[in-house]
Amino acid sequence: MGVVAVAFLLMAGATARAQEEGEAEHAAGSKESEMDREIRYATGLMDMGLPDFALAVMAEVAAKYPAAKAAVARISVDSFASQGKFKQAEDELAKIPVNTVERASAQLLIADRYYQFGKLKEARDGYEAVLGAYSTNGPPADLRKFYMDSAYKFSQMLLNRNDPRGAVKAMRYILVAKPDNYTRRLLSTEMAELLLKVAVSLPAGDERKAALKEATALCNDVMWEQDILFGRAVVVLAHSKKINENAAAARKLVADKLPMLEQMEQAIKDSIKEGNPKAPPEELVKLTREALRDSPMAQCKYLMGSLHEEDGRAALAANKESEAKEQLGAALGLYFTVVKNYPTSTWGPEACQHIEGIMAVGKERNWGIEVPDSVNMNAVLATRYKDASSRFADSNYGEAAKYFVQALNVAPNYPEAVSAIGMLAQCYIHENNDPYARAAINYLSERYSRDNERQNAAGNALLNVAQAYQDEGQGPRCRDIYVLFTERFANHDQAPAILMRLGDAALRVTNHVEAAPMYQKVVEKYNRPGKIYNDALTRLAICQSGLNDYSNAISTLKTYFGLLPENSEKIAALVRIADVYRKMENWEFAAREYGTVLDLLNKPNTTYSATAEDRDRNRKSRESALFYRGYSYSRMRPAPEQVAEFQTKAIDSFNAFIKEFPDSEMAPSVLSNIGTLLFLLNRTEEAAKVFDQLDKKYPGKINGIYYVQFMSLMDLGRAEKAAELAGKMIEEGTPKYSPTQFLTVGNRLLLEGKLPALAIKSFELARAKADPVKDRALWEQSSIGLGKARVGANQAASAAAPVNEMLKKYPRGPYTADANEVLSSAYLAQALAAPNGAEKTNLFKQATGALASYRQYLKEPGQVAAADIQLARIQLTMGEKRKALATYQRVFDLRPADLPTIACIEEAFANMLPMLLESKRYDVALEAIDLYLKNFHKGKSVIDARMWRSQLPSDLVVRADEAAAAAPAALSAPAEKPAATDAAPAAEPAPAASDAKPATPVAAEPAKKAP
Amino acid sequence: MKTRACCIGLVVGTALLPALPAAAANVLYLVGGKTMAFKSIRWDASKNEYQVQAAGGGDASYPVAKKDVIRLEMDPPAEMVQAQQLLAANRNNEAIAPLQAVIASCRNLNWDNTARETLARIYVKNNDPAKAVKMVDELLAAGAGSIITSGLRVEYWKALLSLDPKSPKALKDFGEAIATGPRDGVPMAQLMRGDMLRAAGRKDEALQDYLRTILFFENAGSVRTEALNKAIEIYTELGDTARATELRQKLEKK
Repeated sequence: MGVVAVAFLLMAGATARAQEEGEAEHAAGSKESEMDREIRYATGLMDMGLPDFALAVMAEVAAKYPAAKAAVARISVDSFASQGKFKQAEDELAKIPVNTVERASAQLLIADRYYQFGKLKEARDGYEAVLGAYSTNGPPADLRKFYMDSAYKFSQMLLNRNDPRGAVKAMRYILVAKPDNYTRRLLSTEMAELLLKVAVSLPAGDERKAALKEATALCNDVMWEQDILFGRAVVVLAHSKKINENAAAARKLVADKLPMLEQMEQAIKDSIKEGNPKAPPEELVKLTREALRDSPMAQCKYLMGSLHEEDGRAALAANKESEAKEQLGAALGLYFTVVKNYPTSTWGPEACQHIEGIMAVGKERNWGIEVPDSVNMNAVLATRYKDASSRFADSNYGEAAKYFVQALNVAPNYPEAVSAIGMLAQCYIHENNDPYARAAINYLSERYSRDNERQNAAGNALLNVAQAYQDEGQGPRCRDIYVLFTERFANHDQAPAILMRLGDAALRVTNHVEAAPMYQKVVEKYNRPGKIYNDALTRLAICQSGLNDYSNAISTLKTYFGLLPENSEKIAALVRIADVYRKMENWEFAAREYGTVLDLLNKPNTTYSATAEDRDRNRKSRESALFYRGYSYSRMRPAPEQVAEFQTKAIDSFNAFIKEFPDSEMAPSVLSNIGTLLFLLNRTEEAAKVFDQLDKKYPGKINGIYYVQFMSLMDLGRAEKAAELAGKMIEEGTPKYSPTQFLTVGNRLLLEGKLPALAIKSFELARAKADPVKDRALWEQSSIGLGKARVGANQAASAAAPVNEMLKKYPRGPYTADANEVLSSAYLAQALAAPNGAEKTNLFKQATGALASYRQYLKEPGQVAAADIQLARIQLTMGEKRKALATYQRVFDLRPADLPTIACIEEAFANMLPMLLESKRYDVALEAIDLYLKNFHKGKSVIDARMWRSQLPSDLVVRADEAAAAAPAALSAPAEKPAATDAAPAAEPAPAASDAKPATPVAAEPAKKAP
Repeated sequence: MKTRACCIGLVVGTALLPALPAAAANVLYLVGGKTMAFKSIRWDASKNEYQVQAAGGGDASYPVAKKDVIRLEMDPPAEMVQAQQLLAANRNNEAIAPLQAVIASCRNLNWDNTARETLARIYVKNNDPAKAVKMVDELLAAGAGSIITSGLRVEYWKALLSLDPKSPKALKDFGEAIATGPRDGVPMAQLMRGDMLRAAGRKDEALQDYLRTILFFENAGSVRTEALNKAIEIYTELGDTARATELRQKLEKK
């Protein structure tokens, strides 16, 4: 309250001054120079949040009036600082001459902005530098108002940081600036109250005495005038005496001053009556109560009550029951008065708490005491929620938390309680008190999620908590809360939308493993027709397809397809169904579905193309369907007598494509495929024409017919035929074919796992022609490819050489990780072939060393997991079982975030379980099996896992089963938690209509990697 | 722990006697606001209905489906009266047989549950946790959980844990009490669940339960004090002296 009052006074002072200035201006007519007017105008623009305009104005002012330099700089400073551009702001500040009012005010401006942007240390440094500079003689008149405002802001900042001592110091700066009399006394009272707070927190001793002495001095200064501040000062003095363990003196002081305080209170009541002569009695009562909110009588009575209570409790401890009863009774009477007469004062709820405490004592001892009907504690306690909420709204989270806790303890069944727990959690989040935040969150969700009347409010509160985490930049925690919400508040209106947000956030980073279950839940639990359901279906299909779960993806897409009206989206859904069949290499079904798309779009006046947008989308679908229908035909493996028929169908489809989409980016690829298919059909003359056409249409892009055919054949799945052409390319060598083409050929052959000898030759040709410096990327990739191909061709002994040469020349670079991976494989292959002995051991060590180097460059979890699996294999081969087991366990403990990681976890599980059983580590085995069965219920080792489980001691298994049946969701093990993403739930991603692009016959440049 | 045990003992000691109506009537309260006075009633489990001989009528029995009955009131059976007299005379063990007879003869007639509840208390007092648990389980299975007082509930948890310190049933019931039980039972459920989790090495979750008790149950007396002490211990074990000190100050202030 007091703080608000001071702010108001300072503001009022400013307004008054502004009025004075305005009047002065008016009186003086043209006294204000044009320069000042321009500056004032620019300042106004700044205040309106238009820093860019302000700067433009000031640029003109600076050009016109050299004397305005400092003012211009000051506004420039704020224009940057107000946008959080502090570096530029500090640079501008440096331009202002030191020891000037402009400099000081600009520095305070920056400090204000630092505070606004939450940069508290910088704010503190800024305030102290300027405020401290004038702490002896006060600021110059030009700076006075700004100085006081800033000092006040600084004090509030320190109060929010729970630094009352610092706040008192900051308030002293205001006093140095000589505010008006009432403001000075109000500040002194507030400072005294803060010092009292400091003293309470200190142990008895010199420091506490000093704080109380300072408070007393401030009060004495205030008490020269008899008004409401006088009353507050009296209470502070009495309180300080009580803290000084002089209860008698405290009581005497209050007793002495009580008549005066009562007179003051009466004066307040009278003034309300006089000020509202026509108010009805109820309104008058309400107004009076509101006015008495700040009456010192409330605190005074409360203080007296607490003195009696202390005596009463001391008597209780000494077994003096009658004395205790008397003292506690007196305390109760005073507390009742506070509740009854000052229900809106801050002391009301405190009094209620004490009343409840004393009532509990009375109940225990059968004293037969009752709370009178006139004492409406509930109404008072409800104000605690209001007090807490107002502090929360002011971002005063420390104080708000204290009030919320009080309110929740004194009025836990109030309707406000549920949202208050959520706000309390938010306070702790903002205050970085994570354990308390989690305690509040867990309590909220566990206690109220099954309460029919309050679960909706609790769900809302939890969503606000998630937002608070988001605001604090704690994305993963925000996500955890959303997950908790969807689990606990499944019936909440927002549950499906939140599931979608979670799914979308995961999908945005192509984390299909996490996204899929979110969409799945929406589809299963909230299967009401509508946008959310449709979106969930289409995105679920994306995830399923991404997880190679093709049969379910098709089923989901068919459901989606069935829900759509006849428009371009329906056609796109059909294309997606065909795409999934294509991914499954179910060429027949894929060709059929693409054909259906074409048939639907071929119909005259089709309803699928009603709008321009539909027509545009359908054209893309048609392009895709034509291409992939041909592609699917070309990939079919019919009976030998039907091969020509299907290849002809493919050619027809490709020709139709070229006719309809001659300028498509897929056209070169299509022409290449047509030429290759004709070549396969022994229609060599026609094939040559097509390649000729290709060469003419795309000049410079096609270098060498064998290469083009090689690539097409590879794309069409004819690797052996392609290898023949690679052989012909190698015969012709360079410069007929470029080193880049040989690198691509080598890589394609390696990828297919075919003919490593040809791959070796391709890489050798590429490497020999590449300059290690000028063509570094090409040379490095060729070296790695050569090493890899040699390992594949059982030439491990010579595999390491080109790679080591590369690493010697370029120890660090974009291909270092790959090089180490190849080295590890080469050494491992050599080690396995070497006879037992020192050399074998040394080779194993080199293999693990290279693997470790490889691992340190990896960022994707799946790659790291794969490297660890490789390490475990090496360890096993070396006979290091315990190390291998530890490595497998490390992999098993990873979160199954993506397909490569899942594959590694599967392998780790399958390998480590027999090892655990062999070493009789049954408890670890059981935990792993149960976790596996829970997370991988369709996993490769499910049958083995069940078998292994049956081999475990039965008592262990029974106990685990019972625990699983009983464990509440709140107690789920951390491993069950889904992986967190830093990304906040985001806007919907655009579903990919058709994700695969046809391969191009154009020679691929060596892939460029980021270092 | 000592404080808690004392507190619970008091609850059991003072509430062993079942409350018998001063003058009960034999009345069935039926759906639709009707009542039916009866002179005898029997539960037919096979048909899920009551066989009722109406007051003032002949000896013929009428079937009344359970779904049509909102509640029933009937005079205590003779064995119940006998048991009450024995309990009043502090002859608890002798009251067991008549109470068991009530359970056998008054199935679904309310008195069976009253007898179970009383027996559970006797077994607790006799330090026979297995039988006490069985009685409470039967009460819960009969949907009579609401007649279990907070004190008996705590005894039930203690009995469960004395039989099996890792009792999944106890863990589940803690969750139930916290989620759906009356507020006064929540702090003890949190405290005991925290103890269980702590014993299982799940310190962080245990701490959460203790902190919840500290934050939201300032009036929970010794239970909160115990939660404070245990939270301090965990923070100390975790090396978080700042938080341990903060809680210690709370404890001292208290």
